[in-house]
Amino acid sequence: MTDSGLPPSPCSIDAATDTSPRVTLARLEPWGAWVRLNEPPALVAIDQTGARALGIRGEHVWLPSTPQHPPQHPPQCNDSPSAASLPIEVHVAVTSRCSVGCEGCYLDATPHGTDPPARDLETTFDALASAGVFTVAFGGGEPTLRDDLNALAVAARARGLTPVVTTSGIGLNPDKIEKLRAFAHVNVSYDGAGPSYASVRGFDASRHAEAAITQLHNAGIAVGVNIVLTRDTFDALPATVERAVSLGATQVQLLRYKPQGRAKSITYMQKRLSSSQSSALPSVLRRLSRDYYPRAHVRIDCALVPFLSSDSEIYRNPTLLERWGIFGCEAGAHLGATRADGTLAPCSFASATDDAVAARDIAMHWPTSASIGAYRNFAHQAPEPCASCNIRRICKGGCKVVSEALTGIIAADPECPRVIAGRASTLTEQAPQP
Amino acid sequence: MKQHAAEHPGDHATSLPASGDSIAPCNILAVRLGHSGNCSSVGSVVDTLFVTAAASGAIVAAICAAMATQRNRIESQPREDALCNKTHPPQPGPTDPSDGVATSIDELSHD
Repeated sequence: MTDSGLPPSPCSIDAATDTSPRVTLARLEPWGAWVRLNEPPALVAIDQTGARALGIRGEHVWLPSTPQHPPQHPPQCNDSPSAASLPIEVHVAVTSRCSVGCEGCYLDATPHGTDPPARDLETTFDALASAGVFTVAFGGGEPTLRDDLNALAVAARARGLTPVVTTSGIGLNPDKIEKLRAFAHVNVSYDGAGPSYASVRGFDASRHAEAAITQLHNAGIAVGVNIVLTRDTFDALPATVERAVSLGATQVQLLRYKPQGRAKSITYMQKRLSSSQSSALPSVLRRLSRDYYPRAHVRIDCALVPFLSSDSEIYRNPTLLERWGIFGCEAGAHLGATRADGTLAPCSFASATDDAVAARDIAMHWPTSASIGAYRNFAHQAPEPCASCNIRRICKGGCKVVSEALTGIIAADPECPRVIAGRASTLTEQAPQP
Repeated sequence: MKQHAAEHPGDHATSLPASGDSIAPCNILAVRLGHSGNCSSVGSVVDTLFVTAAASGAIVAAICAAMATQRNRIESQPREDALCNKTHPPQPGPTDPSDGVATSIDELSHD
């Protein structure tokens, strides 16, 4: 829903006059439009003047410039709860089956899970495309267990959606790899060699993951890696990245370990990053960027954004984060998810709720669902220390899944360095004076 | 950090587009680079925070160039199947009955 009372308007592609693969999809927003570029691959937020320059007419949606909505207001920084835009990226659980059984699986996927029927997924794709979603990330259990994975990716593309997928890489063979060709990007879960991998997943399948990266790269398929950051994998991160890039990964996606699914256990407290590791993340990112740009792109997930607050240079300059489109917790806002049962969620980690609605009804219920809105709206009324934080508009209060698991409510991320410092300061003030 | 405010996307120029077929860096509000293959949480490229001014400028220039090569035509299309448009009445303004629903972009020329 936009401030003007209209939902974002998707712009579909008329394939009859365009046979070029380099197509553009745009979505009107109150501030201008999102425009998707295929080369270079990017989502670009442009203001109303820029949209007009591209021939996009949005007067029926565009808001006039106001102090609350200046013309150069980055889209992820809208402070108004009513500006509940529909997602631009949705994570779709195409199965809840997985035969691997990782210790930290956030969905608790098992070999006995289920596959949503293809026709249901296609109905979901229809709804997402109509809502103006750009990207669908296939996940859940292990997507490559589905024989119709390629057909589903093709179905997503036919609707103007960009499909991407995450796989463990275990069990990939030439036939399965060929079925991944329709995806814009394939990420392989790879937490490092031997002990690092095993520390996250409970077994060592790193050689399978490495073989998958190599095979995908050799097949000409864009491949990246997902690296879960834990106390045990953090120190090995430079070596893990070096190994992944040497095998052909062009993208390194760093993920925060989160207490959900099988990871929601007492072991979480031992596995999560230590405070010193969290605070060291920005300097590690600097080093990795220096060493690998532009050979491989370093990415962080939304849940790692709070850790950027420990970096004084980044903290002083939130505009940098805004303009490079860094997303903090966009659950229920720019990010959404669908579960294997076809219901919507604010993100793929979020627990099921009583008011879950069908993904096919996303346009109608996304703006009004209480459970989805709870994730989205926290940042608008965030208490201290989030309220006065320089990067609050990007961070959005940190990971709600972590705060719910550790505090029982949606609250300021309890693992954020700034929140930890604030807590320590409060305790010091409250301590009895000698 | 090597960057300065003037090296952010959108801060490279102050001129407005001179014609209907180009876009200037100042019109760019945010750039999200690349496709994320991750299915569990939303990712963002961060190396652009740390690269040199020349590198970040080259990225923005490439974005603008990619947009400049496209001449876009907007055609309004009734999209009565869109639930979002059924639930929210059209706003006052354009008189074209198909405005306020969906629009399509046709790329008419390619380099």
